[in-house]
Amino acid sequence: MNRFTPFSNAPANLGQYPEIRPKTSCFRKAYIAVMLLVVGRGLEAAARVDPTVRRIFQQLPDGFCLCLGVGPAGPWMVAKKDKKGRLRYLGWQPRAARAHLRLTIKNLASAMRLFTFQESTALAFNYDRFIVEGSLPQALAFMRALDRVEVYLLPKIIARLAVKRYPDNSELPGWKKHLNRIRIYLRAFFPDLIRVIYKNI
Amino acid sequence: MILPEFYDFCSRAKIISGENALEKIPGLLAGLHAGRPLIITDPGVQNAGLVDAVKQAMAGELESAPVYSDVPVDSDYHVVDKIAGVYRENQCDAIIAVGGGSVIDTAKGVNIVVSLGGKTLLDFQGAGAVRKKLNPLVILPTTAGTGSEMTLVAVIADPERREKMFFVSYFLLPDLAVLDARLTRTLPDFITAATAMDALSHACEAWYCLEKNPLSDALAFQAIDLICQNLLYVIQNPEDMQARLALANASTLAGAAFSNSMVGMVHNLGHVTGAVCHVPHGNCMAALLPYGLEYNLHRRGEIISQLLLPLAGPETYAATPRHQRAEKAIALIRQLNQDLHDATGGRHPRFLSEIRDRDGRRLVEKNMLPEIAEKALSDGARVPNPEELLADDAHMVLEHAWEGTPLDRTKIKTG
Amino acid sequence: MPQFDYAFLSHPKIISGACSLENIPAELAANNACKPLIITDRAADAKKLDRILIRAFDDSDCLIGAVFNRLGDYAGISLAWQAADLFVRRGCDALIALGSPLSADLARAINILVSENTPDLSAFFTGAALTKRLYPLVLVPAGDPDGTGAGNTLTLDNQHLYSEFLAPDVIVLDKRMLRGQLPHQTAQSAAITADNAWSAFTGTNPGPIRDAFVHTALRLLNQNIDAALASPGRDKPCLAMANAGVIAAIAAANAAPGIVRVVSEELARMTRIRQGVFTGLLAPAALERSMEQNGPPRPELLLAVAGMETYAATPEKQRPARGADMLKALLDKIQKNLGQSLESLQIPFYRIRQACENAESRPDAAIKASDALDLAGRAWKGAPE
Repeated sequence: MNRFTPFSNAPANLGQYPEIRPKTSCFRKAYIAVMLLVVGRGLEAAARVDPTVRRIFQQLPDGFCLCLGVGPAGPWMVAKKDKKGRLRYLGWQPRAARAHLRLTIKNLASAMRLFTFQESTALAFNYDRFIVEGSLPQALAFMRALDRVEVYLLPKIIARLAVKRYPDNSELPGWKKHLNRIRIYLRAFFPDLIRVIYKNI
Repeated sequence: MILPEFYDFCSRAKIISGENALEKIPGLLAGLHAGRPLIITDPGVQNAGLVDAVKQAMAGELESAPVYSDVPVDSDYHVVDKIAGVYRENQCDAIIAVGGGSVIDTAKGVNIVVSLGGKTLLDFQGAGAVRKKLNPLVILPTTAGTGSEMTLVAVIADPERREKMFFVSYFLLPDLAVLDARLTRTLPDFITAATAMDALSHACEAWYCLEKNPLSDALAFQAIDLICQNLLYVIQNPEDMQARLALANASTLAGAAFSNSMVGMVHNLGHVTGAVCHVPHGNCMAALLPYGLEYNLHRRGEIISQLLLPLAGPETYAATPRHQRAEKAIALIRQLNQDLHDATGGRHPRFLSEIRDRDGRRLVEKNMLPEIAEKALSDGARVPNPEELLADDAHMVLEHAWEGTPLDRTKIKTG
Repeated sequence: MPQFDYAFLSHPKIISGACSLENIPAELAANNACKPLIITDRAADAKKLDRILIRAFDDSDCLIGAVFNRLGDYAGISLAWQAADLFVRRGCDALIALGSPLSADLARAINILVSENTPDLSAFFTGAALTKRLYPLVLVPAGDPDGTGAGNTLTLDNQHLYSEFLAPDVIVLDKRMLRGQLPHQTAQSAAITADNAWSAFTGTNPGPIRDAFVHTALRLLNQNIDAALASPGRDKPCLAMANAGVIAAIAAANAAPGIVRVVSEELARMTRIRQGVFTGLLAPAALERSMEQNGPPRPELLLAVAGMETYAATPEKQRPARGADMLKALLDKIQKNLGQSLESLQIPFYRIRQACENAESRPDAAIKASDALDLAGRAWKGAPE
């Protein structure tokens, strides 16, 4: 910088060209935060109810901590396998403790496309919307769990857009799907949610 | 031509192709402000006399370029660190990699270490560690198959943790990819067949996978066209340099296509089969390719039917009714495998069960298939595949590919 | 058997489609940059496109150094000096060129000024090589998306500088930036795209990769031009046209500049009429001329312009001629939207002659004045109705 001599003999007035600090959009952040909360709680509940999801998380090491969110400034969703081997949703504060697997959506706009189901998870992954830190097999396992949870949490008409193949009756019988859906919703939103919110605030 | 909702495309390597391409390297290196390259290669390439040919072609100062020729087949980061030492000792300012996938990945790793400083490749793990232009890297592919010269990935093993480390950055793309028929002339026929089928599978998968885009489509189309016109001819006329060069071009085009549009279940199952059973990559690709097309047919029917044009030529394409084109394309790939099998005296396997090692032992046993199917869930190539492929589905496909029977379409779950 | 003696480079990363603007911060980060200087022109400024671009940086780590919006319809060194001062004083580390190809030119000039740290570019225009690594350059085409900025040329004060280091690092195509083109503007862009593709297709040492780029450009152009001309408000055709423009420009950057491009650049410089108008008028004549001199083009042209079905259904012998016919139809369609012949532009013929002579003296292209004049003569009356 010391060597700098102006190029122009009619230098531009710096005041005319202000530095611009990008804003934050609170509405989008809030929407994503709510969606991540639903997904987090849904994952925790599904890990108890659905055998496929349970098996996926059983294969992960104990104490495994995963973090899904939007870069660079959040919001986030943190979940961890506790000592008993159960998945617990820990809230929206990216903890100081290092996540073993961190899936970061590159920006809020991409996250909005994902969470308004304009793009399926697989498509978003293909479009390079995610940054994966941690092991790829674990990230893939997590995505499989996520797909399954979406099948439970969302009505069929929306879930079809969010997953590659919506399971038909041979893969997941209708009655079982509805029963599990009710169980997951009950588990996700009633007793434990208040604990999580309290802890995070 | 379909313009997708979103796509990105980057194929930053400058491609130099021609009968005298090697001779152009010194001048091009000078344009990149480099003059003392380190040549990295493996013993096979060295023994085939290719390095000498390269050096001869680059007459003048570059003839005395130092050579590291001990890259093993399963290269790891220790090798990378060692070569980085050689590079620094000799005060090199560029790298010329002569070889196949392993050499190319190693060279990319070396380039990270020597360009960004530091002692070991382990310092550069994780997303976004490579964010700067690296030193000039020239790649001379000798297999005409992997397409690694056009990919932005370097896969290097960590033997202590028994893991593969992935390094991904656009800066890993080489500055120059040089295609010269002299580099592939010595390939035996069955390896030519396997590597070309590898390239064909890159191109076909780039064509039908989820991330396809207009540019990857056009590149894949050219690649398939070149392979279908030249592969059998090269097997029968191994000395034809133009046809060899055409295959090398096809491989690079396919590499550029799949590096941007990604590959699907054929590679998903192929990677895992290779890892579990230690099978040559190209053989797996050849055996699995028809099944990849069949499995995804109900989702990508229209797209797969278009494959018939480059596979069979315009006359056959026009003469085949629209609804039969996809089936015909799949049948043609099976037929190509059969023709290669015949032309190489049976050394090109058609099914997984036919893949054998040098002593004639079968490499893929039927009881290994469940393990492969389960492990396939952990491979990244499952994501771009149009249809979901869970362990049951993978097992079903593998069984058919093992026996060499067409897929039972009723067993494919369509959701 | 095609020939495989060629060199090809496509440096830029193309990002196109939904949310592509929002990818810019991540792309900058991947290039180790976080403080861009945005260069834009008055037309883009008037449409408030810079605001859309700035909005795309929301919630990112980036800080925008400044938006330099002084660029009118001429890119000159004094403007580049001013912006370079701004770049250095603000400590920027990347450039974003938003808008017409002129802003890309200005951004390139700034890039050379600040990375070579010299106020004098004349040495580079006369052949000196660039020695320093340039800062990352992101191109966001808006206005006329003819793709010219995607190439590797810097045009400043009517001088031309070619270097593969000048190609942008990232090209971002987003529908929000491409809306609201009038039909004649679209036609001008299409003309430049078609000419770029044609000169890349017919240039020496083509090679399969350049053919693939030409194929993509022509296919996208021919598929979408009707929709883009008929309803300029529709996003998808406009985006496809912009894609075609960029891809054709990259292909053309790998071939010597074609005669149409050089002559129309010279005419545009002389008359201050937009280059696209001249390109549109000269291109059909150039095709006709090429057919007379070199015979019908390679059959791949038909595949590119007409698509698989038509290509396969046409007997092999007729493919070259049919390809030329279909390209001619495309060019005529473009010309019709420009609605003029060279004569109707009311340029005295002696000035056209002068432009042709200037074209011959251009160091970057080997073009004979007589050829250029022949071309202009054919385009003088325009296409017969």
